[in-house]
Amino acid sequence: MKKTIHPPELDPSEVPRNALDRCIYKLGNLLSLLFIFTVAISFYEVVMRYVFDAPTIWVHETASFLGGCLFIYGGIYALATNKHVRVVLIYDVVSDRTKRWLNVFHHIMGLCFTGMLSWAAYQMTKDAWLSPLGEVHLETSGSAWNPAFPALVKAMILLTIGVMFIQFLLHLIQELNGLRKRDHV
Amino acid sequence: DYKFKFQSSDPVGDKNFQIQKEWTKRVETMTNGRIKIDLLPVGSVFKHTETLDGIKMGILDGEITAVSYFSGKDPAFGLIGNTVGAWSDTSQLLQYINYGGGYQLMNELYKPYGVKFIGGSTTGVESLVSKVPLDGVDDLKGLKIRAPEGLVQQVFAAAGAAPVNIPGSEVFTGLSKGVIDAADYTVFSTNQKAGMNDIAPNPVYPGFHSLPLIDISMSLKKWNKLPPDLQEILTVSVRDFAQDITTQLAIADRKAVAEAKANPKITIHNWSPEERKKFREIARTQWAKYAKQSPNAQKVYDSITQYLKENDLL
Amino acid sequence: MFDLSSLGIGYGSLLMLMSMIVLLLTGMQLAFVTCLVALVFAVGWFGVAALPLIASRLYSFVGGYVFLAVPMFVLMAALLDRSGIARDLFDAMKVFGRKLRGGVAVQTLLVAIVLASMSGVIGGETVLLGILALPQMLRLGYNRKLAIGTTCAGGALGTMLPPSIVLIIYGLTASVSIGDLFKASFVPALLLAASYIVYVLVISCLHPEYAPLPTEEELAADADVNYFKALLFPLLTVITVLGSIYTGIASVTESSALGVVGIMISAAIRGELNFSMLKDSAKATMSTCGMIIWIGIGATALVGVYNLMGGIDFVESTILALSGGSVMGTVLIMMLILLVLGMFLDWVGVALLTMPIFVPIISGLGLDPIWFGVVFCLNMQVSFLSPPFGPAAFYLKSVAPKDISLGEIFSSLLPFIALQVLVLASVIFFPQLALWWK
Ligand code: NA
Ligand code: NA
Repeated sequence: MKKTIHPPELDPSEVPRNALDRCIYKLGNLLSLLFIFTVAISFYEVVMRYVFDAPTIWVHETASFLGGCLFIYGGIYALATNKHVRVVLIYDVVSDRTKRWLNVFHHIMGLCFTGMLSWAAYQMTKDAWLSPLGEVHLETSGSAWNPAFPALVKAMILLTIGVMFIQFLLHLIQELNGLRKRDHV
Repeated sequence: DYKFKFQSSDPVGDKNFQIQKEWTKRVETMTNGRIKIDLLPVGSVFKHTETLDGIKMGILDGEITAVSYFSGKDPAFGLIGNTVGAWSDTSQLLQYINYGGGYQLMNELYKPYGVKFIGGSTTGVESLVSKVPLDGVDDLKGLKIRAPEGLVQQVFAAAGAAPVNIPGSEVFTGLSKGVIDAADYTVFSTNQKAGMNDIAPNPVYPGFHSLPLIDISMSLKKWNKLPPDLQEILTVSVRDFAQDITTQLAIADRKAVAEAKANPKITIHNWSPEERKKFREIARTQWAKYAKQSPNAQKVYDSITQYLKENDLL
Repeated sequence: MFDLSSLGIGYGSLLMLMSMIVLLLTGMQLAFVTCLVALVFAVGWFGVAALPLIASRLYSFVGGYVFLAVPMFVLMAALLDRSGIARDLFDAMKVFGRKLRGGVAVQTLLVAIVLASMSGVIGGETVLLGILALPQMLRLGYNRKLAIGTTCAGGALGTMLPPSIVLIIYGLTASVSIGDLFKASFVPALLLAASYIVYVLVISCLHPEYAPLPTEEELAADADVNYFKALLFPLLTVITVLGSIYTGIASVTESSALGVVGIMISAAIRGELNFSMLKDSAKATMSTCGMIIWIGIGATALVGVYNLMGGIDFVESTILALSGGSVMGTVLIMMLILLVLGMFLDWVGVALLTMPIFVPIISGLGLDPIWFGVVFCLNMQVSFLSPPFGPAAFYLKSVAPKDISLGEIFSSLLPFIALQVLVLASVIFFPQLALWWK
């Protein structure tokens, strides 16, 4: 009786385009369950605090940490499934060929930005993992619980931006191949 | 000649920010325009916990911030940044910083980050916002209290309270609805202005719990390039800034206290010296624990306890 | 190589804005446009050493506790839309759609108000209404523009009524009480919703063909609504979310988590909860959040660089110079800036960019920052609908029938934008609308 309003299939433009994108998509589907875990621990915190008068010291920071990592991952997930918003007023009306060249341009710009950002993230992560004297010391949150989440989130940023760089590179190669094949037909 | 960008840990609307801005103007006048400091509000370039990195990278030239924000980099900053229970009033803290070894210690701690500690200050003894009457350490048992990260939280936990970690922005709603019973927020005048004392009408003033160390610091490299006269002007101006901000806030506090006293719904609680002493003793046990977290934290512990002992403040 | 700082802040700002608009119009993803412009200006203005600033801002942005409310609200919407709860709610509101001309549109707006009191983000609601209400109105032969406009404008109400992530972020940047902001936004939000309803009624009165009445057959077909069941679960959810915020069992982020649990329990009682539904909802949350948060990341990067360039002083002095110190002039210039930025940027970006500059000016002029928060929130209502970057339109597009183009959506929204500007003007000229309780 109930209609399925969400078709299980993805829109053709949103299908992951290569092996890397497929991996990101699959892993992302798995990781997305952590959102529900975050809900669960937040609920636990409310119950502990309100019913048992015993607030935890770890929920707030763990939830923020998981959220932060998932938000970052969401960037490559949305890139793999082409979900990032664009202004399509012009993009949608140009010819297929022009659109492909626009895509090439976007991928090159993407490479520029992830290239620069990877270096920036590397600098930041280095500072969070090494003390100014060069010993390994993970930056912590400074709270009473004091987990090393800041250092971990920063490393996650570096990793994700690096993956994003490769994503753009593969997309660029695929787009150029597509253009070449079309020209030779 | 020198144009610097400093970032504050206060938002623009705050009285603290206005006082800090006045300091930058004074520096400009005193140096006859040779130093111009552009003061940016909290978060405008870096998050408040990241300004030390910002100076290290050479993006920011300086900061006006609470030292305890850097606890995650080294627990030493947490201990010196808010040595809960060590100082009864602002002058005791300023004496330790200016004449008791604090200045040298802070410069030693900041040096690896390429940062020069120009001078220290504080806001004032913070008042404790509370819904329920608190007249002594025993009343803290089971109290749901919002406290910032670090030593403060640990001390409250040791005193039997249940510290809750909610962001500053949710303190107001949290209090008005009873998520928390009390909050370590800020100085009395600001609390009063924000309406905290109307929803939580049992403030403890003067507070017994928190006296943050505020520092004005800048890039060590850029400091070393300054001629000695400008270095001296900066140092002296920061020493005056400490007087200025603590005095202005104290005056504002007194006004706000008078206003609160006139309001029959608000009862100000002032702890007796015995209760304050009890709390301080609990706090001290936590310093020792905290000090074990890093060699620098131990250094801070030794320096402060030695100073307190020599000056008969223990 | 190239030193952008020699341009000076005035031309620098202009170049920044122009390059952003040009890149956006090529169809490049908004999140990446702002990131790229931020990085290029960081290097061009300050040199390579300034790059880590962007990474640091990225880190600071994603770690913020309040932003956790975003996935919670999105998850809530995703669950609502995969369970039959929202559909039942919509059906129960049919009572308004039967005899009244324009009734289904009114019904849509009333459902929008209920959904808006559960949710605090833009997106979930628009998607829900796009799935539930839009096909209904199109099937009944409603004027397409009226149907699209109602759905989209109604969906955008989510951030106007409390709880609202826009007001929360404003409260954080301006350091004013979020509770007061919620209180102050209430009347303007209802005023806005009422203006939509009145517009729908008036236009369907003037053009009866825009809103045909249902036939006898259709009326007979849906006579069997279980009102108790249909209204119970949505009401329970509203009570959990708003109730936990107002009675204070939980913080805003936690309340949104409670809302998710509330909906899960409702769905379980209705026998609809299963693992694949949870999985699907979580997946939807991942991709929507990835999109929203990365737009925020781009904006925060841009803002950091612009602030470092001296943008704050520049904008402040420009506004004061243009207005000549007149209070109303200053406010109107700010409104103009907000409306223009709202055309090209996401609200997070606009808030982060302008509030640190505007709020002190507003306070300095002796105006109430709480009132300004409501005004800002109304501005962002406009920004959700205004082309070329109109998030509400994008969300609707993602679920609307394929023959509805983005161009058609935007043109349908024009009358609603006019209504928003009208309500905005009323709140500007009659601040009591927001501050009556003070
Ligand atoms: Na809402
Ligand atoms: Na817009």
